Amino acid sequence: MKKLFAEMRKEFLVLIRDIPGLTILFLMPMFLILVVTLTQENAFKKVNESKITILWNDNDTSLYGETIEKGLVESGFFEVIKVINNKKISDSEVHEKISKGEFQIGVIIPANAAEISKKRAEDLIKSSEKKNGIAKINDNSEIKILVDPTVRDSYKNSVVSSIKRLIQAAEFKILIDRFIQVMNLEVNNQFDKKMKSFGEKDFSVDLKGFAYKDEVNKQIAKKMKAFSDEKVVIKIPEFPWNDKNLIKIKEEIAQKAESVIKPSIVQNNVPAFTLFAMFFIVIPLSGSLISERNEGVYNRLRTLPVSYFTLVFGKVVVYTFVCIIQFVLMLCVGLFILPIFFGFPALELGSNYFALILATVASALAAIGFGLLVGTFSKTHNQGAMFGSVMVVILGIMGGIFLPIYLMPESFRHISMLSPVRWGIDSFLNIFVRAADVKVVLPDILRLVGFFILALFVSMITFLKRN
Amino acid sequence: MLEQSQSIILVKDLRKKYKGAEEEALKGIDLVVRRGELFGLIGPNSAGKTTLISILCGLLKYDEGMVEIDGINMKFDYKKIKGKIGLIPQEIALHSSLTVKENLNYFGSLQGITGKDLENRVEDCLTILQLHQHSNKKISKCSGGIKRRTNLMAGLIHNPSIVFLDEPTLGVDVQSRNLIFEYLQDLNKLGVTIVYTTHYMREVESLCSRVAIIDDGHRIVEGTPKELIDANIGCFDLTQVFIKLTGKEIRD
Repeated sequence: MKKLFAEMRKEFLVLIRDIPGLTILFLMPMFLILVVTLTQENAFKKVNESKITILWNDNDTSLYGETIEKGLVESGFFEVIKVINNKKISDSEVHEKISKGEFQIGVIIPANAAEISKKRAEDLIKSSEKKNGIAKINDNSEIKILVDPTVRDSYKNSVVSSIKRLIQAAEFKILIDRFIQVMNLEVNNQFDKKMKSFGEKDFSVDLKGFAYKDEVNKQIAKKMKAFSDEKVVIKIPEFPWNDKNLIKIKEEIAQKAESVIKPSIVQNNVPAFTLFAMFFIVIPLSGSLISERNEGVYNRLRTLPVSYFTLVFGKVVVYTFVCIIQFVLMLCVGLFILPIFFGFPALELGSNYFALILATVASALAAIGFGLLVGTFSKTHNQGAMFGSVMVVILGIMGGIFLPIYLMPESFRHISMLSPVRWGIDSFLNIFVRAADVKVVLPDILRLVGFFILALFVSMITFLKRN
Repeated sequence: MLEQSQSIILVKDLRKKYKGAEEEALKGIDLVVRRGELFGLIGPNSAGKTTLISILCGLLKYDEGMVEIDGINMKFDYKKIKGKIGLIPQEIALHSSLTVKENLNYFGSLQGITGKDLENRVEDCLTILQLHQHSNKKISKCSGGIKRRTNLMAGLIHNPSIVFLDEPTLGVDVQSRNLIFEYLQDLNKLGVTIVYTTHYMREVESLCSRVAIIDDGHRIVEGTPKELIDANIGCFDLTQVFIKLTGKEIRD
């Protein structure tokens, strides 16, 4: 028993004296919980408190668009943005901003929406009267719901179906209003004809609101009671029950005209997780640096006629190569394994291979830069491995690997801009999903390379200062 | 003046204090190592030996004083001594996942040796310390003796003119130790200056032409082993001289 206590005491002392290890052990999971909770909080909030932003361009500016807009706003789920920089946005701007990923959902109401909807309502009522089914819409006007190609299907489906339901509700109101007008006219026409046969001239009924068969007949019976016992039968039009929209709704992925990429779970996930995997290079790279330092190899190296830069650059080249192999393997999963063995759509690489190569090398460099930092500041292998891997997960969460950026709280979306993983994912998604060219991904590539240079500089300065 | 003109290592009033330390590690050390000497640097623990060696190898910066190695002032041109010196540190400063031969190739390449020269040098190193049969073994799988011998050769592959050895025979069996000694003596005969630190006084007595004892950041005494023994009445070997000059008190 004493031996057991001796072992326990020793282990406890070893543990409490490893301050950096303990800090990582306790603080990192706390930080992880904090980050995960903060990012996911908004995803749950979306359905309750937080609002989904919709870019809105109403070309009709009549009651039709206003009714839908009001419905969206009053639902409490949506925030409608019509003006950016004090300027009303145009159709092309809506398309551009959605395709660039600045907004996820956009709605464009066509110019003659009110007119079409009224005509369509009338057609419906008429066709209902004739019982010849629903009239076909010949007009090409349509309400466009534009969706960012990187938006996940589940999110897209729930948001788009909500918008469709609200549009339907607004249209239903239009249909009812129109039906009441038509019904009033029809009933009064029939009633007038009947009354004229009795020699009376003015016996109109006033069907306010959505009075239907019983109410109509009640009012007619009341009027007739005054001068005749004859039962007057008025043919009341049927309400044109219809589950179709008055104006066609077109759901469209906002992409470049020339893009042939179809957004899919493969198209979204493969680039994101490839980048995530790349950042795990931190473990072997920091391990190599820590081992060399702790095993005395560095001291020997410093007496050799070789610069620190040469030594680090040797590592950078090899680990970049490793990252590229990793990238190719991950692409192979998307290109062959997922479609062949699991029936997923095959990954499409986009058309701009040069941008893809640049983004891959830049992401690899950023991952290596992170590895250099971890290797420089960690004292032991365990510290490096633990801190490195947990930080990669945190950076991945911040970068939108597990939860899309647009579902994060506003403040966190800004913080996520500090994550190199985010820059890498953004550039990959731009290439893989938005078919972007070098010009579009260049800012993110520069950020990634800048991070690498900064990390290299910091690790070199720290190394030189330490000695 | 004669000493200075013959010196390959010249240290004057060298001072070094580590950040956060209460006392200086080196408190104004003077030292002269002559060209082609096998010089023993001995002292108890915390005497300042490793600090002094680190400064001489350019691994540490010093606060005050002057250090010249082969006529090069370390304060300004320490990079110029790289390539001239060979450091054999106390720890096994090798890549454990590389083989004996791969380690020698690696350190040789970093010294700027290439092609056939490198091949020949590696072969020589393997032959000199009888490492041939272990040349393809990973360092992590090697015995302590093989590791020590490889560690030694990795610091000597470029034929340095000055060699710093920090306890190179630590944990080595008698056979390996003898092999290392013989090689060091051969090297010294070729004109290589060797600065040797160890806690084994007999090694110093049998190997070194001159010795300096340092303690508490000071150089206490410097001379040939015989001079030091003769100067201390009642002492018959270097161990007795060492105990007499540095005391029996246990150090940190």
